[in-house]
Amino acid sequence: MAQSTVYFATNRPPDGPADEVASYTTGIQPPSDSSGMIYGTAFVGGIDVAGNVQGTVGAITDISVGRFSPDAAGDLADAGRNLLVFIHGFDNSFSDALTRAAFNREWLSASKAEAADMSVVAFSWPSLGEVLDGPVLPDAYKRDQTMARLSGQHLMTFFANLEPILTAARAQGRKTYLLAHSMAILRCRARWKTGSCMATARPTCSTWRSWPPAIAAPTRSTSRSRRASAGCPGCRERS
Amino acid sequence: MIYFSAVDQVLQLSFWVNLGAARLGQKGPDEKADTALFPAEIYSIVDATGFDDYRRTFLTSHQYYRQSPNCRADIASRL
Repeated sequence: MAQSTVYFATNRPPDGPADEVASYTTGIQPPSDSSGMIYGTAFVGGIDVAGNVQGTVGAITDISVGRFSPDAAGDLADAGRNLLVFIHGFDNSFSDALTRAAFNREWLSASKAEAADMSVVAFSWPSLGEVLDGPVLPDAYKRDQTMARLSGQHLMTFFANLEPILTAARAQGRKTYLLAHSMAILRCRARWKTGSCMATARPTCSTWRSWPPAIAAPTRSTSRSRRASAGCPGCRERS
Repeated sequence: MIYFSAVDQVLQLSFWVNLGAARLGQKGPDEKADTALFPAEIYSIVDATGFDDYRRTFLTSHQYYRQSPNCRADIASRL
């Protein structure tokens, strides 16, 4: 069984202690205000890649409001390996977001490809996270779609806070990969409409793309971002 | 990298819920064969329909990227 560290940010408002996974609700912080977003570090244990076991969240530490704590930012900037940024899709609780991020890190690492041994950063938006055995209820699906769209500015702020960390990591020769699964792409699109998000393609299933600085920076010039977006046919595709 | 699957049942539900709006994850980009739009040195567009080395249910059909060992190996090999 493997253990993994997941650095995270979320726009789910906690209704209890921020170091308890059960505190994170399915509500959303004010869509136009990112100052209350929670950043932290979670430890996930009991991961079994061969058995497709995601594990469980143990301790949550290093809680910080509005940005990564200096310790977490330092760890990520000087991780000694590449970085994986994971944004989950629909039907993920907060716990699911963390355990899936950890599981993704572990199966990539298990591939033995040097580039695939990465530190992972997860962003969790307020999906209902209803795990059903049967077909997903349309109302739950559409509710998640709405929440995904409302999370656009929070995502942009997360990227902006991440940018100096990634810049420092790149200076040490590290790369960053973004994994955006399913409805995660809607959140990116909410920012593309204002020309301020990444120009990575936006498939509905899985996108992997190295994250060069020219398109990773929501805080860089809007015109530059627009040029990058205009040049990406994936950005003009349907959702 | 773009992965899509024609047997992703959650996206089939999405197609219905969203009144017939096709999802990129079902068939990939319409113009995926156009190498001017999607040059191979920039885009890897992978048809994941054939990855069946996992227990495929309604929900897991949407999670093949992490459920299928062969798909996972494919992704890792492209990094």
